[in-house]
Amino acid sequence: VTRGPLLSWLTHPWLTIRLQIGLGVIFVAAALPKILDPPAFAHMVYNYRLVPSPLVNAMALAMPWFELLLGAALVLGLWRRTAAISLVGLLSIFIVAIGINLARAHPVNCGCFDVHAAGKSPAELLAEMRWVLLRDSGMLAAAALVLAGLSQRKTARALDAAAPTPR
Amino acid sequence: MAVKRFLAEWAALAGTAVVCALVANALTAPQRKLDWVGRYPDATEAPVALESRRESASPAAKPSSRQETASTQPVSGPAVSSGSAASPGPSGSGTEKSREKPATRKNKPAPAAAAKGTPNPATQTAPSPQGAFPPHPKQPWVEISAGQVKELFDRGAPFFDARRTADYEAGHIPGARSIPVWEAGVEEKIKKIYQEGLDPSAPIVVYCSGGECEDSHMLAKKLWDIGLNNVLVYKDGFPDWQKRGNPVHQGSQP
Repeated sequence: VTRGPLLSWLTHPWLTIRLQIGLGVIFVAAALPKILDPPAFAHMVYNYRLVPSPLVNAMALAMPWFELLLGAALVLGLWRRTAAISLVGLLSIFIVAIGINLARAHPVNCGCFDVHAAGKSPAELLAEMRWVLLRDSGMLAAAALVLAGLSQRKTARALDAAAPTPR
Repeated sequence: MAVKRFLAEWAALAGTAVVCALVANALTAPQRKLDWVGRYPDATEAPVALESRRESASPAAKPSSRQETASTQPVSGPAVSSGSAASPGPSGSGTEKSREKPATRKNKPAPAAAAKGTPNPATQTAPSPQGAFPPHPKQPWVEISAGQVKELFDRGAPFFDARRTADYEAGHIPGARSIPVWEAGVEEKIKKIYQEGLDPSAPIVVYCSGGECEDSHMLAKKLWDIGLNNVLVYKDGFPDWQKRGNPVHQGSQP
């Protein structure tokens, strides 16, 4: 398998392990305020106007714990592949949710790291949403790199195991 | 095999998250508790911008003359500012859905009021005993100005505070009862109000934090659903009340 030098560098364990731990810390930090105040986070979820009414509270209660566990798994290096795939899925959902509301010019508080509305104007919120979209896209790229690094190391290990043992 | 392993690990993570959430929600303080199943109006519908909502609330947009009378009177009074035009319910400009709803609920006024023989406000044609605040059975709520709120406060109308418990305890309109729409137990509190048998056509004021806050509208919709036909929303909310130097009460008691 031939890879360009850029891809080799981007999927190098030196980088992907740091990205993995960094993403894990970010997700743990993002989960804590939501866990501490579920009603406020439910309000944030509702404000997106995308989640059906009966699911708003269940999502507000369970999702932060899921984020916390994913973050912890990445930091501790447990179930890394599953955690990285789930992270890609979650970030994609966040990006779509923000994108839909940006497209329909419906200002929402992100609710990413803070669950209390800061009293910003609609214009300020829309500007912040664009920044959040960019930030989440960057995190999605980082999670994809972590996943690519894990897959590459798995393939390398498989090749090593399949190689004939020298006498 | 890899897919099987992924699914097993994912299920373990998701299952643990749900168990943690169940335990944490059971052990947390009442004001941080959340019912697992919520009931929120228009959860998947982007709200129309406030300005366009106000535009659509013009009397010409109303389909029936009775509804027009009911919805425009409170805001045509002398105390109304230009920015407090009557707005239709949260569904926007009086959709079919929002007009049909009262027809199914107008036969179930609050029980005690029904026992007292209070006339059904939906069929009322005589001049309203509520003066400048006639019932509006076809609309969940009508927005009123600060002057009208003060008038109702002086008359002793019931007030309901839709903000979080911590905000309520930090300061609220004297006599206002706390019904935080985002905390667990809101449906029980609404049920209690229903059982108290408030006069369904008497004016009731709900408020939250003003600005973009829509909690008072959500509470108004819930009160309208139990048959209260004269729910008035103090749009500018508690910050405006405070700013005007009106009395404020602190603590958990009304």
